[in-house]
Amino acid sequence: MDVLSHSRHFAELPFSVSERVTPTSTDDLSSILADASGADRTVIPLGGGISAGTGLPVEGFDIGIDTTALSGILSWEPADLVLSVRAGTTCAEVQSALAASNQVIPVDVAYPERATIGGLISTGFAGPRRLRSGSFRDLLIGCEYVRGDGLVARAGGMVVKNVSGFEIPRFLHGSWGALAVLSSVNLKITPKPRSDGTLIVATESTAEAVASALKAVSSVSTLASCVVMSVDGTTTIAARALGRDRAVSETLAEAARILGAGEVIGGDESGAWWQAYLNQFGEVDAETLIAISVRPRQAVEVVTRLRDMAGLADSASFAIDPGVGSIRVRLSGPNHELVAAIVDLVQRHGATYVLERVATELVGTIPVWGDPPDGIDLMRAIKREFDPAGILNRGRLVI
Amino acid sequence: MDRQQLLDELERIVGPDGVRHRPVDLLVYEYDGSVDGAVDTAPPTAVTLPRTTEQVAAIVRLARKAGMPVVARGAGTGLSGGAVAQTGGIIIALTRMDRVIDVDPIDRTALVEPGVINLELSDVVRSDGLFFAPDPSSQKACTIGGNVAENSGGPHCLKYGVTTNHVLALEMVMPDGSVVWTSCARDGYGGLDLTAAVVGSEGMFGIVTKALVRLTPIPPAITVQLAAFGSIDAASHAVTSIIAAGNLPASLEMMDNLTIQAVEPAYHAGYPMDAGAVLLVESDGHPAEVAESVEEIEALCRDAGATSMRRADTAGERDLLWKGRKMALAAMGRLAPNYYLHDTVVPRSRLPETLAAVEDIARHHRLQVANVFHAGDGNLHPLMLFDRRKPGDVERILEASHDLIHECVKVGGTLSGEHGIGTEKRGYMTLVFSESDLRAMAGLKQAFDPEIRFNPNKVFPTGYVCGEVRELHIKAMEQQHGIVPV
Repeated sequence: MDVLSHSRHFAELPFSVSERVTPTSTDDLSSILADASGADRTVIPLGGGISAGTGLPVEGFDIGIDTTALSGILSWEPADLVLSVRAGTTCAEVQSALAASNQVIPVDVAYPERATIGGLISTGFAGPRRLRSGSFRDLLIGCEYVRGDGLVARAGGMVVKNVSGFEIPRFLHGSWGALAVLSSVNLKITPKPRSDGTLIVATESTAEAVASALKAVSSVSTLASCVVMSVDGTTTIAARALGRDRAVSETLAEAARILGAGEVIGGDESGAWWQAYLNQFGEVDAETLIAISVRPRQAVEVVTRLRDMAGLADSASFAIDPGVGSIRVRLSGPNHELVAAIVDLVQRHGATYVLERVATELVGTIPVWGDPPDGIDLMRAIKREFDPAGILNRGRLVI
Repeated sequence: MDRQQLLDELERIVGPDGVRHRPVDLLVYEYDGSVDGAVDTAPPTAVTLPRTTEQVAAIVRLARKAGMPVVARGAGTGLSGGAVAQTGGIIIALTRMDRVIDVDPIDRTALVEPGVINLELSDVVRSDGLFFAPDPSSQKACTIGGNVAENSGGPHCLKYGVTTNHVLALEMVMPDGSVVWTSCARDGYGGLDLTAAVVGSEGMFGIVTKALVRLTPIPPAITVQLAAFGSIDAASHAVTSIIAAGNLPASLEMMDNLTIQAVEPAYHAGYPMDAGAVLLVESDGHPAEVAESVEEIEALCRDAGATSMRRADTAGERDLLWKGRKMALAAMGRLAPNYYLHDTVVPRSRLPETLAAVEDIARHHRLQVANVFHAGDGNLHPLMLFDRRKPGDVERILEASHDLIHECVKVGGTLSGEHGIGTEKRGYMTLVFSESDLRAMAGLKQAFDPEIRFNPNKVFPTGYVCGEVRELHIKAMEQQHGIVPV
């Protein structure tokens, strides 16, 4: 079987990779990293390749580690609601195995057939269910990882509550492969909700939609997700409830009193709506994709100003998760001035951003990772401990 | 720097009322909530009670100049020795930094100082329909800063998670006296999630001086069920079947007969005195969801052999059922002068056999053990009853603890679910972690605190021979002499 069948072909990556390696065991992974450290060869770990286009411009890496052969469920005890899975396993593969016992990882992800569990964790992916049930960060209970210097270590365990030793699994979440490559992860899982329903409300003003979504999130605590999507000038609010039938329909009825009447879709159709929503804004081939994080209370103002920017209304699509302050902006072209204006707006509101996809010619002019975070010296000291030769993702990240 | 100079400098920073140094004043700071004997006690050189981040930073800079360790302390309710200055040095007690600086009901966050008491935060935000979800048993006394250090849990973490799931960002004083804000780990962030590393680091990475925490909406419906069973075993099987059927209660707590014997006469919570064990099951969420879950849980409990069931829907009734659980530790005084509260975790499905093993261990060591614990999480809390005045009692509980920990690890469990490692369990770390695992953890410590200023001699096993870990200990040992001339 071609282990790269669901991963992005390296030829499509925005940088060159001199050698590609496909470890099949943790020991393999350890030797690759130890040797690379010894020889000062730079390394980029890759799962489904979905986020490979994010980061500072890098000409190339000496080694691309394809993690997708580190695949499969290592252990799963349905009665314990815990799972151990190798990091290169795709999300779809895990979810379909769990479905056999009516269990689920309660995170909806973009491109689940391609996205690997390790990649989702390393890039800090968080979907629309994080409003209530969190992201992978909240589900991680343990992991095995290989540091840049090849040291294999584990942290956490296979129990749902654990304060034995430092919280390294959660710390590696969102670290973008700066410190180590995950070889396996242990997750808390949950029972699959018995019923799934989504209220879809078409609306005029994006800013007003954000305001009412915030109100719905505050007053209907049983909503699982509530987002605003604006594509091609059409704005839609989607509110989702998960649980038992009656609770789902009553929750959506409560939401409709705030958001307005709309269409209610259920079951697979509801799941499909959210999948399409995620894919659209996780689009690998989008020309410009900006992830903005604001305080929820600033969401209305920031969205209003974004909307007001000349030209933005026509060319931009928005995916807004007001309850968690996430705004994703997709532009149809490499509009330098617009990107600069958006970044300026975000910074004036004390918010943060990442240019997830951006035209190459812009990369050198606008910091793709936003302003350097506080504590950057400390982060660099940690990087030196985990990856003393600095081979992992060299040049791509801020640390 | 001699002792008097040090005290003078400290007074200059925090004022005369912010420094404790007389032996009689230091006595209480030799201890935390742990059992004397299971955890070493030690007097600090001085205790300081700062009111601001700047004062904390100045104390840390002074400690660095004097070459002394620094130990942060909240309410001192910890159960693993974390707040004890094991190698002497300066204790920074954060109890005077107790302001709730800001509550934002739209963002659903609160900015607090570390000395804020856990339950007081929930009290403050209740009028906004919110609460702070981590609820350790000590929540009437313990501080948010302590919760952050230990990554505290509580009965409701089955559904809501532990402290780390509710901390968004931290202000922290670093070993060189600089102040860092660990950023919110949200979208649009390219750095490392320092917040994740610091929560649960047992005060070894820095001194937390502010926390931005997440608040959770109070659910619209809450019901507590009490189910009585003939035996612990039957109750454990009910736990498994409740979860297996796809229910996720907010909490799922168990108490055994000995606990009921202590609790019921003291607090009249309505637990049947003849039950082998009782389960407290709290379901919350949408009223329709709760109503159906409760029916299902009742049926599952009856199938598992429940001898009686009660249900509490109003706040008053719920509080009464919870009272017995929350006051269980206090009630132990009716059974024995002392108890050693243990904290281990096993996979939920291994509960029945582990509880049977606990009983065997108790019998073998001629100990009475009461069980009151977070069954839904597999988080055991055997209370070993003893009398410190009786020669040999402390030794027997320590031997029993040793057997208990081994038993839990054997079935795939771990050392501590919510109390921390501290000095209590550092000797057991090699049972669950390899040399490489510990080396990597030591590397993280080294990056945060290269001079081993903060809370030395915790978490890592003593005498553990391994490059980085040994280096940590050598530095800690050097500091044990207290005041080293600059």
